[in-house]
Amino acid sequence: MPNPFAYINETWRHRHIIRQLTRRQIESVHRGSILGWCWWLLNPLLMLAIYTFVFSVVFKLRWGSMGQSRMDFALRLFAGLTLLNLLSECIIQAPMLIARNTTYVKRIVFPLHVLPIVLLFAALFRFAVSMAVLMIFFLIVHGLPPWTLIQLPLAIAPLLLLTLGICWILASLGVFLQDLSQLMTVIVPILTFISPIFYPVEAIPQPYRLVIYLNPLSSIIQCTRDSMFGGPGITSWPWIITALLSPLIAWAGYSLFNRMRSSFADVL
Amino acid sequence: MAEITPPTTPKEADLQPLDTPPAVTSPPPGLAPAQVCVEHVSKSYRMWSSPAARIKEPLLKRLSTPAGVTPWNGWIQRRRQGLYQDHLVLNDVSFEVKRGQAFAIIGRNGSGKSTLLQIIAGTLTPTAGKVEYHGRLTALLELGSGFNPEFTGRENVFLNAAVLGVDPKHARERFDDIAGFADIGDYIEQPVKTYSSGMQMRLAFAVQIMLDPDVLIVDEALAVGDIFFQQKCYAHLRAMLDRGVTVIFVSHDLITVQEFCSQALVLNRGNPVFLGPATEAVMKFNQLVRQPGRASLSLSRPAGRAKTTERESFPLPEDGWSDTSDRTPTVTSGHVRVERVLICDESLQPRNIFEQGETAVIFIEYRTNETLENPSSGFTVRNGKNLAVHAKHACQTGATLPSTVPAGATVIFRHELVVGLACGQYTIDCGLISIPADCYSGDRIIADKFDQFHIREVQYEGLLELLIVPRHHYQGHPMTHFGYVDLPGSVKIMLRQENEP
Repeated sequence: MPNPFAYINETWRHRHIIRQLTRRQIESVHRGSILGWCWWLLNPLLMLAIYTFVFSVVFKLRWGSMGQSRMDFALRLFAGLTLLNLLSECIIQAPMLIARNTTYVKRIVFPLHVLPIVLLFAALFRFAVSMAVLMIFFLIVHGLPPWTLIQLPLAIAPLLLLTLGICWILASLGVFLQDLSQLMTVIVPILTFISPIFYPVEAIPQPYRLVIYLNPLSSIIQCTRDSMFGGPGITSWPWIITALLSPLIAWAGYSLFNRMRSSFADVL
Repeated sequence: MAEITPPTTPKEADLQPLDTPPAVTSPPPGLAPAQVCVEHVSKSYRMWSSPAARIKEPLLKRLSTPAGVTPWNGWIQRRRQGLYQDHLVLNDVSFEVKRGQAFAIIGRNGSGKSTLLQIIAGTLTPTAGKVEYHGRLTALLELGSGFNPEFTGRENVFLNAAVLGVDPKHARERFDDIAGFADIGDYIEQPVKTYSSGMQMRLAFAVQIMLDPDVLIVDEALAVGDIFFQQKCYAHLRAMLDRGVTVIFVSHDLITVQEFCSQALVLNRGNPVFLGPATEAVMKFNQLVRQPGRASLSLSRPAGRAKTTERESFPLPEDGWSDTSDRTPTVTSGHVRVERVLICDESLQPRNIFEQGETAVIFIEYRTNETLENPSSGFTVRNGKNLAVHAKHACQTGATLPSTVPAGATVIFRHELVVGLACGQYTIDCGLISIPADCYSGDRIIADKFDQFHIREVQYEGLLELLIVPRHHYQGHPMTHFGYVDLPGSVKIMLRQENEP
């Protein structure tokens, strides 16, 4: 069993590879399109605009019982969705990750475990742009954010470790089980509804509320919203438990990946 | 068969080159320590009955206990059966390569050469045994190794450098050298998928050698480059050897192996057959090629069974014959087949490596099913490019053909050949024609009828192999001639001095 923080050391050791591959992946997304880099900004802008129009103007929905501004629903929805997108973008690609990079498996001695890290960092870039757009809208709607916003990076951190761990697991199993890739395309829409994205956790009646907390996304989404709109934030128990569990999941994923890695070349 | 641990056992920790410091480790001066050490490496592939079996087997294995301990053990063992089959592709290979040594691995296709190289390079994990090496190892495995086809040449260079643990600053310094050596012009800024195979190889080779490896592995890749690039590569490889870089390579070009490498390993179906000086290894390899599968021959033929009317008598070598009864002829009338063949020198020592200009003797034994008229045996020598360099029939040599050979008889032809050929590998096709009696009188062919009436009875491709090597001490010149063949000829010289006015 590797050292529980081995994956952090490894990430640092291979930082040059990770940086090059991540930059390359980010660049390649909109390469060749006319608007190029603008798409990074345009995409979240358009999405946020459409959510605002549909949910705040057409449906006139209010967030739970404590809705204040009309714009709030769209902002809260967008915050949750941005978090989910980070995870879903990664888990959809992870199962095929190794199979798509056969060269790195068979031709050279490549630190394969950096591939999921690159996947996460590339997704993180999109995430960061979306968050920036969200913050700008937030400033326009609410003015200066509450001081609790400083806990935002901390609130998100468990999601990164969690995503990374899941990616390592999916990437290593995906080599042997082609079905995982199909499974993920089914799981992502399900996740959209079983995570508190379109509704606050408080909207769920008590006996089911525990169940929804089994989904680690719930506490992370809630904590993120808390840091923007006020609430218990990182002092809430569900988030603390998730935060404690997420390094374990990352470690488990890393260990599994390393265990399976030696047989990748035999299968591909 | 050796006890095999399951392939899933993680052993790659020993093989991660990046675990070694990227800086060049210099061994203590005066010593020539083993730079690469391969110890009892075996590789077996597990063929799984289904993709799911891969996951199922380790789980069942976890659950299984020694027999009789748990009641469900028998059930588990039954479920495990048939989930996989092991195929041994490398069997207990061990060798050492010293600093500055060039080492070759030779063997026929499918003998496990590339698998072994991949294990040394660390892209495959051995099932048993281990590989150790010091310093930085770069490998050129197959074409365009390690290039992402979507990335530009430049991006791939830096990525490969990062993978090899080269500092980005150092990689930037070497970039011009790499681009210069690859010499692919503006293509360096294009995605690698637009490259020709030659360009890919050039860039791959440039990257591998310019990033200052201590061990370089080359798998057959150089064959793709044009002759000028190959020469450039070999010149560079030699310079690297002089600097103390260790080179391990696989090649089918036996001449290169002999010239370039000091030591070699011969593999046959995954088994190490010979380890030693490259020249001997090449000979061993050639013997191996000549005797495919079944070792010597099933020569329990009753002597003098049919009344062989021997027209001529000559001594026959005792062993070294290749049984060809299982070979399929490319042309056959069904009247005759080749039973066995042999190539040897004038003293009847079987061998198929000859120096330029030596005399080779080829024995071809035919067995008839029908009566044949004036049978004439012949052979064709083909070079590596399948060009027929020389082809000659017995009837073209002035030899007297037996006028009739009855069914069930054995005819042995002894061909003698002065191998005035360019150095290289050759194959020899053998065949027999028969000439109707009215086209052949005594010892010569009635020329105008020959083309029309000779019958191609049987013909085989590549029955024998021949390797021509440079002649040692041939009048101070390493080669007897240039070009494909050494045609008989002589030179006379007259010096004529004009009287000065």
